[in-house]
Amino acid sequence: MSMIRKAIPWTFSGLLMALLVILPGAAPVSAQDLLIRGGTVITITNGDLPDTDVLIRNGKIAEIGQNLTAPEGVRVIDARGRFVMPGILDSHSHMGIDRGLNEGSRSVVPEVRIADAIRHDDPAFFTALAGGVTTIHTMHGSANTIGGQNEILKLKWGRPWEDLLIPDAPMSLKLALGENVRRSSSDNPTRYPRSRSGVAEVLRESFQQARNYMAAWERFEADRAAWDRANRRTRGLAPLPPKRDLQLEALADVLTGKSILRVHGYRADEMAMVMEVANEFDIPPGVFEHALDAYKIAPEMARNGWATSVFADSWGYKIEAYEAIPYKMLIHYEHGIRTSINSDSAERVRRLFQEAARGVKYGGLPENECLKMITINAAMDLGIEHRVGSIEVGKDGDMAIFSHYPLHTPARVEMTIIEGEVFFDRSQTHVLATWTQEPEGGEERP
Amino acid sequence: MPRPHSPRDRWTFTRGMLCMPVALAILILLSPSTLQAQYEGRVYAITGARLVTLAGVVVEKGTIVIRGGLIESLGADVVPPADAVVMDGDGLTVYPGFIDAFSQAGLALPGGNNREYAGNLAHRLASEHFKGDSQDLPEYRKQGLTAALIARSDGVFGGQAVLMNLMGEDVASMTVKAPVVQVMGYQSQRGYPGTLMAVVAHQRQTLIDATYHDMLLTRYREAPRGMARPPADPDLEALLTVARGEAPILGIVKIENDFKRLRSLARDHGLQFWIAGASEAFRVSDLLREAGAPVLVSMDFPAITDVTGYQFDRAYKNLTDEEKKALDERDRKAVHGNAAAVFQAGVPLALATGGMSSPASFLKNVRLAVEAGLPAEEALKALTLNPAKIFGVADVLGTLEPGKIANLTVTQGDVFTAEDAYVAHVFVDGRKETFEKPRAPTAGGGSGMAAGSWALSVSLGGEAVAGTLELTQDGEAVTGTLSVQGQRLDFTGTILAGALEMTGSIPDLGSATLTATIEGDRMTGSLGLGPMGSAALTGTRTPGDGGSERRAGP
Repeated sequence: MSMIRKAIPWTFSGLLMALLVILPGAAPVSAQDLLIRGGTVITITNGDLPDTDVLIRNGKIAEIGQNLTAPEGVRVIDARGRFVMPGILDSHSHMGIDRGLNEGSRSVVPEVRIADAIRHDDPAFFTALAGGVTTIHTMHGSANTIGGQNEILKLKWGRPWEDLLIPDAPMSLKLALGENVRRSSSDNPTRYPRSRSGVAEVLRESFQQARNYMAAWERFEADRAAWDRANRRTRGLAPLPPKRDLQLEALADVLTGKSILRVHGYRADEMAMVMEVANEFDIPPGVFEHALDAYKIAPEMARNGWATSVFADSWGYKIEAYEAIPYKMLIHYEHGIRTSINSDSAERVRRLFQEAARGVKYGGLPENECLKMITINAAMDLGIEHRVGSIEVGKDGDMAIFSHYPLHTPARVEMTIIEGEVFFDRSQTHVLATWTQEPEGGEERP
Repeated sequence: MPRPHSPRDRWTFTRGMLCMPVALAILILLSPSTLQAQYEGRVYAITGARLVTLAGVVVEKGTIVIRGGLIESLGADVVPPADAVVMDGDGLTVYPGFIDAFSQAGLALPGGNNREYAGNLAHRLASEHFKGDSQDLPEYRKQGLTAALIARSDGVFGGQAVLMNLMGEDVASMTVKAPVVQVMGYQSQRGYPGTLMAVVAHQRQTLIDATYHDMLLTRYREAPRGMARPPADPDLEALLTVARGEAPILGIVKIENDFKRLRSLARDHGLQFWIAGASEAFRVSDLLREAGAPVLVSMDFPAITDVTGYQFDRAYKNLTDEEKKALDERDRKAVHGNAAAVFQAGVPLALATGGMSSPASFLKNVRLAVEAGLPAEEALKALTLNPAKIFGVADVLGTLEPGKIANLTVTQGDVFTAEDAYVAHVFVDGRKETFEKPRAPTAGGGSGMAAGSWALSVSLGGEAVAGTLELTQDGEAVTGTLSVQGQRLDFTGTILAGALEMTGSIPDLGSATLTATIEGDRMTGSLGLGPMGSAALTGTRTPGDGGSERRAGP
C-alpha cells in the first residue's frame, strides 16, 4: 500500500513530463514498477546470475542485467547478498474455495467451475506468500470421476478476486481415480461408479457423449449453412440447434485440447488406463496428480507425453500409497517425464522450496532441476509458461527473494512480489503471531 | 352484509341497491375473502396525530379516518365521522405501514428429512408455505411491519415471492400481490447442487434450458406438425420471462463475491435483477451504481469477523490493541452504514428483515443504520414508498392517501432516531393492533447491560451443552470468560444497543466469535469457532449477582 502511495506523485509528474516536455521513452512510473538490485538471480531457464539487477515495468520483467537504471520514483529493493527466484507455483491446491470443493452428489460434474466459488480473503493466501508462492492452481476435489474446472490464481492478497485471475490461461479439468472416487460412491448409494473398472467405463461413456455432442453441433452448423443458402420460399423452417449442455461443452473442451486434463491417480494400472482412454479419444496428454506409482510405468508415461505433479516424499498414508518411493522424482527426471511438486495443502504450500530440496536429498537431482519442479514445470502443467515460472524478459514480474539459496536449510522468504508489487515483506509482518485461521475447505485427504 | 352505521354508509348502501346489476357483477368477480377484507372491520379515526403521509407535506396535527380496510380521508381539518372509533393521537406519529422488503415471516417450510429439494421451484408461490396465523407474525408487527415480500431463501430457483399483509383472516385475503418476482439464491441443496460452484453451474444451465424451452414452445406454436411436442415443464415455463430479460430475478446475495456472481450471470444471460440481503453492499457500491438495480437491504448485520476482507487488514500484522480497536470500530461502522452506502450509490433502497434470526432487533438496527449515515427520511421511504414502487403496488401502498390500503404504522416517538421510541399501534387492512411500551433495559445507559453471570446453553453437534459466561462491562466495552465443557475462553468486545459482539482466540484453533442479542436477562446468539463452524447459544442472567467483580472473594 505504502508503495502505491509513494508512486502516486510520481505518476502525476511522469504524466506531466510526457505531456509537456514530450521526452521520448519517459513512461510514467506505475505501482507495478520495481528495481531489484544486486541479488543472485536464479533464472531457472538461463542459469544463476550473481550481482544482477531485475527491472520490472508495468508488472512485466523489462530488463535483466548489471547496473540497470530505473526512472526516478521507481522503488528500488536492495537484494545484495540475497537470492531472487521466480515466484513459486503450486500446481495442485484447494485454497480459496468457498462453500465446498467436492461436488460429490454426482460422479460427473465437469460443468462446475472453481472460478464461480473463489474466496479471495482466505488467510492461507498470505501464509503461502510467506513461502514465496505467487500462483496457485486451485482444484476441484477428488471425489468424482470427472470433477469440475479448476482455476489459476495469483495470490494478490487484498485485491478483489477478479484481479487474481490470469485472463489468457488455458482451462483445466479434474479427473479422479481409485479410492477417493470409490469411497465417495459408497457414501452415496445411488452414485455410479463404485469400482475401478466402473471409473474407466464412465470416462469412456462421458467422452463418447461429448464426441456425439460435438458431432450434433457440426451437423447443425452444416444444416444451418445449407438452409441459409437455400431458396427462401421453398426451404421451410430453419433447422433447430441442439441444446447447449455445459457438461458436454466442458468435456468437448478436453477433446479439442482447450482444457488440460488433471488426473488424480495413484496406481500404475489406473494411470495406464487413463492414457489408453486419452489415446482412444485423441486427448492431448495431461498431468497425473500425486502419481505415486508412476515410476513403475515411467517409460510408458514418457512415451505418451504425460507429466506428473507429486508430493516430494509422502507415502504409506493409505493403501494406494504403500508402494510410493521418494526416488520417484529422480526416476521421472531420468525418463524425461516433466514433474512438478505440489502442496495439496494450505500448510505445505508455505514450504514448497523445502519440498523441492528433497529432490537433492533423494538421489541427488541437480539443484536447478529441483527448483524447476516448483516453477517452470508447474507453469507448464498449467500452460502459463509464457508468463511465469522463470526470470526472463517479457514474463510477469513475479519473484521471491530468499535470505539464502532456496534449497539451503536456513533459507527463508524475505519478500514476495507479484507483477512488480510487493505482497509479502517479512520486515512488515508479524509472522510469529499466534493469529492463524485454517481456511474453510482448504484441505483434502490426498 | 354490512350494517349501515351512518348517513354516509346508508347512502353508499342505497346507491349499491340502485346499481344492483353492477354490484352483482362485482360480487361475482370478487372472492368472498376479498369482500371480507373490504367490508369487515371498524371505522377508526386517529385525531391530533402527526401524519407523515409521504404525499405532500407532513400534517403536524391532523386526523386520519380508516373505513372498510382503506384510508378514507386524512388532513388537518378532517372531522371524525360519527360511526368511528376515535383514538386520541396526541404525541403519536402515523406513517404509511412499514413494508418488510424481503422476509421469511410466517414461512413454515418442511424441515428435517422432509426438507424440500429447492433446486428449481420456479412455478411455486412462497404463499404456499405461508401461515397466516404463524406465531412469529406479531413479532414482525411489533416492529411496525404491516406487509412483507415473502420469499423462501433456501432455493436456487426458490419460487416466486409474494407480497403479503401481515395480519388477516387467511392467506388469500392477506395476499396483496402474487407473484411479485422470481427468487434466486446461492443455497446448496441435498443432492445436486451440493456446493456453491455447482449452484452457479445449475443457475447457468437452468437459464439455458429455459431459453431453449422458450424457443421450442414458440416453434411448436407456429408449426406443430412434424415436430416432437416439447414436454411440459412448469418450472422452466415460470422462468421464461426472466430468461428473456422481461422480468427481473431477485438474487439473494450476502457477501461481496455473491454480487459479482449475480452480476456475471445477469450479464451472460441478459437478465434484469434485483438484489436482496446484500449485507456487504458497502464493499461493492460502484458495482451497484453501475447495475442500477433495486437493493432490498437486510437489517441482519453480520459480525465484522465474517465480512469479506476482515483478514486483509489484520492477518499477520504488527497491530497495537489501539489499532485493532480502531479497525474494529471502522468495520462496525461500515456494517451499520451498509444501507447508507446503497442510498449513496443512488439505487432504489428498501429495508428488510430477511436473514435475521428474529425480527426483534429490526427497528433497533434501522436506527443504527440511520446513526451510521442513512438519512432518517430515506430510511422511512425505504420502509414504505420505495418498496411499494419496486413491487409495483404504489397505487395501493406506500403513502397515506385516501383510497389506499389502510396499512399504518403508528409510533410513540421517532423510531428512526430515538432509542425509547416504539410502535404503539399498527393497522393492517384496517385491523388494529396495539402494543405496550416495551420495558426499559435492565440497566441504565444507552448501550444496554451485558455485565453479570450468564447460564448458557450451547448447541454443539446437535446437543445442548451447558456453560457459563462471566461478563464485566465498562461503558460499551465488554470483557468476559466463557466456560464450556471444561474449556475456558476469554473474549473481548462491545455491547451496542443490546448487540453483544465479542472475539477471542482458541489455543491451536484460531479466532472465535461470540455474538448475541441481549434483551433484559436473556441472550440469544451464536458462538463462531472458526473452521469448526458456529454453534447457537441462548442464555439467562443468573439472578442476584452483581457481576463478576464481586465474585472475586472466597
